[in-house]
Amino acid sequence: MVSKEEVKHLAWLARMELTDKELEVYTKQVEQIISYLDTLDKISLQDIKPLKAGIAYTKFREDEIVESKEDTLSVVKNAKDRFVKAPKMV
Amino acid sequence: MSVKIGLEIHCQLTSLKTKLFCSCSADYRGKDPNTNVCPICMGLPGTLPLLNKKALEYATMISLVLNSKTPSTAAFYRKNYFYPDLPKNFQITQYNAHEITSIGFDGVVEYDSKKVRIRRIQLEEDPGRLVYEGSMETSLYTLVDYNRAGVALVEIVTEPDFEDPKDVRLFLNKLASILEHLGVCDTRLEGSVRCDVNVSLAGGRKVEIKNIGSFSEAEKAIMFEISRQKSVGMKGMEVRSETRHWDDTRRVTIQSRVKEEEQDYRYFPEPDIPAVNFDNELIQTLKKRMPELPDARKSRFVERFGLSEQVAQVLINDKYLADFFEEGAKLYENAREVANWIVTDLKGYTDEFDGIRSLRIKPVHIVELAKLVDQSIISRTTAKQILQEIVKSGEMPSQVAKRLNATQISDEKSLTGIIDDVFESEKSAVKDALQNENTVNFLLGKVMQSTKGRADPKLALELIRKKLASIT
Amino acid sequence: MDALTLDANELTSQIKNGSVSAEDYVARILDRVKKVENTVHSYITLNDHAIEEARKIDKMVKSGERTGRLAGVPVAVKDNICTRGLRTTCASKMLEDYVPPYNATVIDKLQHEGAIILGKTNLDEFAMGSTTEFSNFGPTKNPWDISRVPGGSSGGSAASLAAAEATLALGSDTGGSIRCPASFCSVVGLKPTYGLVSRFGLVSFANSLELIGPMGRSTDDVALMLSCIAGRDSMDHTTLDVDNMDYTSKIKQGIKGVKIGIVKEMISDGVDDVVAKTVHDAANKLESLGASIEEISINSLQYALASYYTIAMAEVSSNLARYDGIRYGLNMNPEGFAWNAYYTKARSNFGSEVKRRIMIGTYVLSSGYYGKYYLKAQQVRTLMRQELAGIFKKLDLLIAPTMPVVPFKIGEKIDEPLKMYMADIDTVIANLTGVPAISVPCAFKDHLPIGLQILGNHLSEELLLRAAYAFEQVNDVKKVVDV
Repeated sequence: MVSKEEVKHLAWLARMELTDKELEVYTKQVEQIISYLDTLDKISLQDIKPLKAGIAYTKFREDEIVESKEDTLSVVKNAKDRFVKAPKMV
Repeated sequence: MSVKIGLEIHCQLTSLKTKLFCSCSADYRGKDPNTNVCPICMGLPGTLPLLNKKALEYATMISLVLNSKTPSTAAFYRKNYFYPDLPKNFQITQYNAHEITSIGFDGVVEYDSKKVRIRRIQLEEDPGRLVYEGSMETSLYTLVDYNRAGVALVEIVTEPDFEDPKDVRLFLNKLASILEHLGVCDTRLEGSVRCDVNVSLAGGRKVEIKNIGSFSEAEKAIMFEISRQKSVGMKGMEVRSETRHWDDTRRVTIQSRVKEEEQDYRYFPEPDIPAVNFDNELIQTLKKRMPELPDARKSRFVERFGLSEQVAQVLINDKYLADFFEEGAKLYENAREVANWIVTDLKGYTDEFDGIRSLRIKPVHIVELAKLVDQSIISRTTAKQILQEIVKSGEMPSQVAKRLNATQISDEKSLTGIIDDVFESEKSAVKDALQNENTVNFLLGKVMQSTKGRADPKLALELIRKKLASIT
Repeated sequence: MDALTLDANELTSQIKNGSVSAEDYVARILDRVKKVENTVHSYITLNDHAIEEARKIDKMVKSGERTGRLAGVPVAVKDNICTRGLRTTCASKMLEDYVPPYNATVIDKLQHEGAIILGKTNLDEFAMGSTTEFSNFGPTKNPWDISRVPGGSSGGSAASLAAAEATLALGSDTGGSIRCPASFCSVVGLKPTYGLVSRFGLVSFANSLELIGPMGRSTDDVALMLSCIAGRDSMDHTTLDVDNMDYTSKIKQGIKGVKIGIVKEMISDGVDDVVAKTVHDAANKLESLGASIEEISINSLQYALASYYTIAMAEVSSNLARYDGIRYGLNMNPEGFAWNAYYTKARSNFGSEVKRRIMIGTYVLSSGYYGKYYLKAQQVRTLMRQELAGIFKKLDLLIAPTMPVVPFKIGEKIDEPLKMYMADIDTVIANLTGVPAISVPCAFKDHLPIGLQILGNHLSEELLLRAAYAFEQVNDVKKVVDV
């Protein structure tokens, strides 16, 4: 059973706003889908470890500076003096 | 009352050229905002993290030095939360709750004949920086600079084994020295080492204190928090389990605005970074490459140069001081003198933050100073005066001595003349000196005064006693 | 219209010998796009520089310079693959006017081979869906029947091929998103082995499951495109250590002696009779080509969908967290907003399917549920890999339907998410285990396409393509329709 309160909390954790109507609809749907995912309960997998394809540490990146050729800041819509504007932490 | 203190230390791997997950320069201090950025560290859609090999090496070295175990495979996790300084709204870090995947765990460090257990050592990325126009209260928005976002951090978490804030200071000093000797972190750089602490009294609830900006602040913050918790207890109330902020201006811990308990970080393994195999070969290679560490260096100083334990300890507490000494010891066999000059006199001139690197003096200066005193060319008192000058000017001591005409007066003839003069002008003191030992020193003082410290005190004292003896 | 449906191979050799002008061809395709787009709606954005780029190719041909294996070939690119300077929306309001400052690795590779990016195709928002109905820009229609869905999430790419609006296309496949629309639109679509093609520049939905893959109207074309885009990439740690692959040279070798398994569960559970029959007929044809067929069972399949959706939704809930309007995307001035109010307002611009999946992903990862869902789902993956590894010791390939049904009507399943998810039942196993899988046009039920899915072991693309090619030669079905 997934309650409306839980769905509200999920939306909060994901920083999404839901209207009352949306909350109703989503609660029903989320409940349904989670019930389906509960199929996983049927299987007991005590001894199986999730596969971890480990690779040698030498395959990772060298510590050498590469100047970025891309104009990364071109995507920023709200900037001031090269800073990115963001909402205040209140 | 039993106190339990645990530490959560973050140290930037400032010796790395690039960030943890991209090839941007990690040298962000003093740069214009958002100049050390690329699509990866700004979290642009479609980008993937690229793990810095050297960061793994450095973190593993720290792990080995702190006597920690390393896992057979290390893996990264995502810590999910929303904040403007976090470009992806998750931090790539490490996490041991499901299985051990962090670079180090179960370690132990000895310091000052005590021990502290290390719970874990992990690699993670630094977020960006938030800046406010005017003040945080009046500003309508935040400004974010992502230059620091993605810089490599090593987090070291201890068990709550500390019982005294003084011990925390000793441990942090040792840790700083270790990091410096490993060459992975310049602990003097602003923000390069941060320390959160947790404090609990007499088995009570744990309080976490964040925002401690440097190792030296940690002891003060802990001391305040202990007294705060004590007074809460005395009022008959229970200490709440919470997170508090250290305010270094007002020197108090204050309640945090953000409720830490509400955070559900939903950790899960980072799918874009394959797990890292930690085979024995890597460990052996790193062990071989390990530079000389503080404890070994201290032993060597004691054995090879005959320094006392205390002097050696002061030197190795600061790698640059130790380096300075070794340079000097290369130039002059009287290493003990060189060490003494550094530890007793020179250190007093160093800035708390920049250390010996802020001075214009080099080992050659101290060596020459020591030689001049050893050869009795100048007196120790004069030498101290000269030191005061050259610390600022960077001149060689011999130059200054010449200029001040400060060479020591150590020939009998001149000294006798000066002593005769003093005996003339201090007749009553002379009478007194025949009975009172202390007044002999007074006469010596007068001789030193009149020669502006240049008289050889040993010889002068000898001659004074001779003269006194000749009177009676 | 025949001229507009040339194979990539044929087209590029004609361009290289000067008998066809790349500029001319691209212009004619663009005319066709103009003509049919109101009906089909494959594209979100067209590349204004396409003709200019084609002109350059003609120049290089004239001066004898190296032009590449795909010189002048018009390619449609799914709009969740980053193209420098060309709007990339992921069919979302969140990225409505986002212009990437960099190219995905596959785009660099295609351009290095002389391909012309015609435009960005429609998809379900952030690749979440099986019908391309969840696009912020409106649905794509199935060119075979415009009242029906083209499949998804790479619906735009598949439709563009079926409607002769492109010669080759790039799609992405997380749980069937290349193969499903390929099946519904009667074109060829391949999901490569996980790690064979770089994901750098693919906007992440579920990183441990998804991949970029080639789509075309013939197996030959898909093999050629795969050869151009496959290979290790230093910008993506999850790529495999392979390079310089050529999937075209042995493609005509046939399948004598190849051992093929027909997956019992994938033909029975919830599959239309017509579809099941089609696969049996296909099996017979493959036998006639010298392959041996036997029925096999994959026991862990019963958990496949639950495992897939748990992992996919968990990963997407984290991958989509970065869309908060602060650094890129929406133009929402943060002045005066309290921080959480800003985030929630910005993120209200996600569509309903996206919101749904984010919430479920958040649920399965939240405190206390990790072991019950995510961990279990990953363990199921291990189980499936082990089971498949055992099967591939005895067999070389597996066949099954791509989709359990024929293309259904637009709007038919849109209100029942769980029903929609069930359509992925035959495709998710390839993503969960990382093995390659291809969908080739198999038959028609009336005018509605049915695709055949062939799966192979890791890095068996060469064999996979050989089988698909051989099948194609004895199973001629229409791949393009005049809308």
